Amino acid sequence: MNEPEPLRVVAATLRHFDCSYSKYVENPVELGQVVVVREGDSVVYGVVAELESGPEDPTRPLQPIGRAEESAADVMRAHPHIRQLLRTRVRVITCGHGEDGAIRPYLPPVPPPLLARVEPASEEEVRELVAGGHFLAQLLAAPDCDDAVAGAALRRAMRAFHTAEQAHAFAVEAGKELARILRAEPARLTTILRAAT
Amino acid sequence: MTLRMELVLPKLERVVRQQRERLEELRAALGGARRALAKWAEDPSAGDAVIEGAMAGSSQPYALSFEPRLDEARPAPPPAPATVVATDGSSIVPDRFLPIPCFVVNIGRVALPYGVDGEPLLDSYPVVGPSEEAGVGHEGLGGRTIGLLRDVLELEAAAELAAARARHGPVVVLLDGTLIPWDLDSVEVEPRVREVLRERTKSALERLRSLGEHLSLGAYVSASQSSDVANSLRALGAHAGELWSDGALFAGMLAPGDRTALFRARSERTRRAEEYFPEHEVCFFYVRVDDDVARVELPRWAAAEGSLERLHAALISQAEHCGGYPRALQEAHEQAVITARERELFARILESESGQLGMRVLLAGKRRSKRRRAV
Repeated sequence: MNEPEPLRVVAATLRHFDCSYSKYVENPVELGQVVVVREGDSVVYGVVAELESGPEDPTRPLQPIGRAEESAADVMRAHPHIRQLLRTRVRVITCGHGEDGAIRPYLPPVPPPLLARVEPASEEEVRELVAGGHFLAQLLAAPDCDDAVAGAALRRAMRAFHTAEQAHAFAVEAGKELARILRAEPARLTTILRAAT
Repeated sequence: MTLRMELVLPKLERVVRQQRERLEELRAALGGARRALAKWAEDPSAGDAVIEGAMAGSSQPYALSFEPRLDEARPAPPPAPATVVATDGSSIVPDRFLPIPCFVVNIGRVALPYGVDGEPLLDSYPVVGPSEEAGVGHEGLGGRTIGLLRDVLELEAAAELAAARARHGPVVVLLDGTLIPWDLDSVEVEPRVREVLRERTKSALERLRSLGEHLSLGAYVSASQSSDVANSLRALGAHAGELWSDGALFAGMLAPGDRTALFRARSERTRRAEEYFPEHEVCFFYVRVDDDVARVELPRWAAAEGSLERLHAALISQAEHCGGYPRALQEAHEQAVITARERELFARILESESGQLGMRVLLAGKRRSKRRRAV
């Protein structure tokens, strides 16, 4: 069994960080997933807001090769260089950081280190980050966070709770927080709530 | 724009017109050349004897027969499972405007498995000198020396990668350019350096040979201008004076994907090379890839039928989706290439490192003016 391809930070600000796999992967982290960077002065948490795959070198566009009957996997197998020349990139919106043994839904003091490994947060970490829905303020303030990202983040957060009661309790708290943040945008609130269920 | 196109254009038209006239003369000569080739194919030994007679005292390259039916095209066999390995190099030669003589050779390496185990590899690594690692000291650090070192490093990298991949099955090694590094006998390279690089070339070729029949090896020269076969046909009486190259001769005989028979290379240069590497006699064939007629050189020990067919099939398959050039070679080039921006960055870092160690940077006027470019 091959080791999963590492995802690393390639550009970082306080509010978001860009990550990349060293090649094209079909099973990257997913939209709305909480990821964590454990290297550097503080542990940094964020929500996956964008995924993009394409050529590493923009001057060498990918040609649509392959016979009619071939699947993408067939073409990749027949042309083993292609995967190496492509990259899967991920944008993550920073939503919290670890401090004194607790996870706080606020910006970290510094961005995560470049080339640090990015990995999915554990269910326990996700539950702690999203508790009370306070992470939503940071998430919704990001220009990269549209309604689909917010809805996906809530959907995935609910999965981290093991019982229906816990998930329901989280949904109620998060809904209230969302209503507070978006009190001037009822249409947006409705769209996100629909996307979250 | 500093090149005045309005003055260039009329001159360009004249050059194109002249070239077209020469092509018409060439077409007329090709018929005779093909008849001479067919006659040579009827009795290769007799033809070879005539050619060897013509070679005496000539500095021209010639071809001698190797495979039978040397006037027939060979279609490409279907591709077989193999790892295709290719290497290529790019270099920064010492710059007299910089404070210390320093060079970089960047070696691009590619291994692409087709139907065999092993992960694809596309990477590069730099060799910086003068250094023990590079195997070249301060003596005669000219462009020829660095070019020769680059060729040898490419061959060594290919041998190492091929040896590592051979455990997964057959390996096809593709090199860019001639099989034997061109400047191994150049007087512009210091004799001691030549000697060292000759030994390293020999070791790399031996390492490749030790992989046995699982290995196919081809040194690829795109749009070759060689005229070994044309010279031999001239020796056999063909009116081949207007034949510029073997490529022109074979372009009309080969359908896309076909290769020619294998020939043995004979010239003053190959004679000298064979003095150094008697076990690695150079053979070659031409292969038509789209509109290109490329020359492919290989050592005689790699000319067993199975190895040759694997090489031919891999070349055609590799070029299929790569604009008529083997994919692995193209990617090795992409990995190796040093851009103009990287060259400038290297120069600045070298200046900075030298400056920090108290070495005065004499930024010569020409270099300074190129950097500033102010009006």
